[in-house]
Amino acid sequence: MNGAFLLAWKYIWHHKFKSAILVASIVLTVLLPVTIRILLWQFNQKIVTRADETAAVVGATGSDLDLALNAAYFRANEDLRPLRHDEMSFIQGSGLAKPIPIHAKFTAKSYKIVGTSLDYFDFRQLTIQDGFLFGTLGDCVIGATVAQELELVIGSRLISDRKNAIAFGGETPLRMNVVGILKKNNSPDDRAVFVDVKTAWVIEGLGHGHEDLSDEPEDSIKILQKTDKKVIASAGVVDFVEINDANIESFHFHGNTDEFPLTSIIAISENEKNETLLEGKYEIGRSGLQFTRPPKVVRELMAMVFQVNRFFEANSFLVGIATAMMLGLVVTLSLRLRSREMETMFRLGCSRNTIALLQIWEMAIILFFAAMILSGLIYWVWSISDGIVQTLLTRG
Amino acid sequence: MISIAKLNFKYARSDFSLQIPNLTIPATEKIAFVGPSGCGKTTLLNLIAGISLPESGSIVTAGKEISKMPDAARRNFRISKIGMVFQQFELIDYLDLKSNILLPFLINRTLQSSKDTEDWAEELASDMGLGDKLKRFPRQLSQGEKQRCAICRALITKPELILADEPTGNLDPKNKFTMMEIMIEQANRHGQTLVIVTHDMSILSDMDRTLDFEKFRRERVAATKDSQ
Repeated sequence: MNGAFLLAWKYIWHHKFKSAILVASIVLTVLLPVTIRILLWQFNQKIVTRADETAAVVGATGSDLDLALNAAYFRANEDLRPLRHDEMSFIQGSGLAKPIPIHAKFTAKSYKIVGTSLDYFDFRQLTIQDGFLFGTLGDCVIGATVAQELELVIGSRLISDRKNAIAFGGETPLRMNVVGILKKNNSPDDRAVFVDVKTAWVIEGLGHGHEDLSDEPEDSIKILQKTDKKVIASAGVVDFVEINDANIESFHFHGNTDEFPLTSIIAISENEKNETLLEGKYEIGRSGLQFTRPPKVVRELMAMVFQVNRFFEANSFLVGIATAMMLGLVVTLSLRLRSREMETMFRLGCSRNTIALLQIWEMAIILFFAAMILSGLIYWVWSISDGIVQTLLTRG
Repeated sequence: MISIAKLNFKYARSDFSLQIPNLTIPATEKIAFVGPSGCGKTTLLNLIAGISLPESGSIVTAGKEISKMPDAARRNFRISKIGMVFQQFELIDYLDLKSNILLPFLINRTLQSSKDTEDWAEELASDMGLGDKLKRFPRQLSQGEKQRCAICRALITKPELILADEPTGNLDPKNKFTMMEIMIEQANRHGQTLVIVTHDMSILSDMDRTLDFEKFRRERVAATKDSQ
């Protein structure tokens, strides 16, 4: 083995702690901006692709971005106002687009519950890995990641989360039946729980099922008031938390379902012309509603993000220069501290070139280790970046 | 053999100068240069080793005109023909004892290490009472052990000449006599010339010749002037 290399290796091995600090400082200086770049690249790829697949969305007036993110990523910002379900009929009736409802307000074990129609699965080209699509109230179809992380199989039960500790709004946890598991497709759909929009309304407390109240004496204490038209029951009447064959008939909705809420509607037009005509209808005559094009909204957002990132990259560059200068200082001080060692080698018969080579090998070994660790960490960041970005985009 | 003739040396940034009209040290002689600090003893060793170069004159070391050699040849000659021992031992702190002994083979490609070299290093260490300390680092050795390790390093290339600069300067009385015995014994065993510079007169009883270097310089220069 080359003597200078062996000496360099022995020096580094003997000063493991000092060498590790040098390696760590190089790794951290490079890793941080690279990680940001990878995450930003993944974020851009994911959000733009998903937005391009969700060409047009209708929702209540408010933030374009909130609406686009609701339809694409099921994010439900508190400011996102609902729109009425009968808007579906308007879009359908216009003949300009096919509407797909999205009701994304609730969660189950922190995964978004998405109330929608079966058309959604065709639209996103989602295929079933196991089981079948939801057919009745209370059924749910879960994304591949949900199934994997919660270890759910066909026939498992999944309970919706309470939005508040005390459910003043009327929403009650619903135990849903897992009837289908989707094939993984590396999209937000992997991390969602799909139900029929009516099931979402049940979770919201707009529909429910409970035990029948008979004229039997034991039920009389549960009736507060009874007229020909209505029965007012006491809190003693038990609401069902699960929909099954035995109680499904008792489930009903209070009020007109046309007025029930959706968070957004995806409008699928056959061509650009129909899309533009539909947009025109919303610009002119649909008060309280808006038509949004997620691709445009998302590109505007990313343009801003990249602008901010330029400042961050400039900052990283300066940090890199500072680190390089510090490393230079460390090497210079180290050389000064080791001047006697170098002089001894020279006096024994070592050339100045070999002494320089020894220094070069030491730096090369440090850089080699830094590069190896960096490669491993970058690979690891790359491998988890997809999951991180999907989680970031769907959470909230 | 070392032969110096009409040597004239001057440091670039100092008034100090050294003139030696002639000096001969026969092969296998054990010679000590003594004298106060600053009289030029270490300078003479550096000139003999080819570390410093004279302004004029010639220095023949182990049969070679070392002052006329190109840099690379001089370095190669020094590392293979001259063993050096320093006052501060100058061991490398991150190398274990065995690697310190083998250091010349790590820093100059003209020396090729082999299994025999490693065996020789272990044998030398064993002779010096360091056989069980080959894996120890300098900080784990006593002063005496460090200097014995430095002597092993000087002997590892089987040189013709050993140059020792104040080799006992950092040792306690007991260790310095032991060290002198070891150096003389090793030089006798391997037929080497031993040149020591020191200002410690107490360690010189076993040397073949002792030169008061300052007196020697004055006499030689005066004799030269007289003859002119």
